[in-house]
Amino acid sequence: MNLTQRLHLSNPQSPTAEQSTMRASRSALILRLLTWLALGGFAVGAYFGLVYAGMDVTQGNIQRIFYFHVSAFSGGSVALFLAVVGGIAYLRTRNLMWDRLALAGVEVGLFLSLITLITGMVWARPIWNTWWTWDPRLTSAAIMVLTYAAYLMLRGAIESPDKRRSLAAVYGIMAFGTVIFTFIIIRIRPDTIHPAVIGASPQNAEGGFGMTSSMKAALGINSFIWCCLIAPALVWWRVRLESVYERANQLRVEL
Amino acid sequence: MVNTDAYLALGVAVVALIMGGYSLSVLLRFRQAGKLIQTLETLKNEG
Repeated sequence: MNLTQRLHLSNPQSPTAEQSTMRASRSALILRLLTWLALGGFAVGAYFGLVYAGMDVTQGNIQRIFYFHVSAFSGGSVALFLAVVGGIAYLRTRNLMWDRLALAGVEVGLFLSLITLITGMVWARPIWNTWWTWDPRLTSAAIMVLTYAAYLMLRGAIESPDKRRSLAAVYGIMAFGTVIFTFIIIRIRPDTIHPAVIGASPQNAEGGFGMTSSMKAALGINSFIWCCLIAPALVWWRVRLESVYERANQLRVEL
Repeated sequence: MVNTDAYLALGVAVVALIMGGYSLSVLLRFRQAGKLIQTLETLKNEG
């Protein structure tokens, strides 16, 4: 009997051992499939971004980093939205499954947001001639990353499990405001120099580019892969990891 | 046109490093926790 089967058998909410085993096997199979699709999708997305899409004549090849930069932000937003869903559902039901989803969503969303932030810096160096500037968009993205890093610190600092889960759920829901703010800031602040990849760029934007059909295809495919395959696969694995941790804690208490 | 290939390589390396590093960290934590459960279950059965 493997670890997954043992975990599900030990869950008191499971109706029968046989049903639990079947459910565990099915979910493991779907996760394995999703993981392979995510890995394959990552390679396909990289091909579209690095080879298929045309090169920007002004920026050169560094423009291709946008396919990762924007897609990682989209995937991160999906993961962070899952954290909101998990937080709301946990507050309503007090089911631990939702708390796991919230934690997993934040952790994955944070790492994907870090990719966005750092690839943005790498792009900015040759295009803006600086690694970092306190532009409204960059500042809001940095605040977003720090807000979610604080979420993980908050969880680690509260000892009472119930209090930790409830506070983290409320925090995770409210923190999503920083994601929305980061998304809309280039559309409401005219003084930002950050270009908008989708829609019209602000008047002061530096480094914008008109997208050809091959560029649009590469961006669309990458965004789909990061939102629908990579982010969900990572969140799912992280949820399972949390289940394993909880089983270990349960065994510790029993001993 | 300025040659920005090196920056693209750096950006792709950052993506690979963060994605690979995070995936590896989840995998290692998974294995570590699995081993811990096995140990605890052995202890429980022996006790």
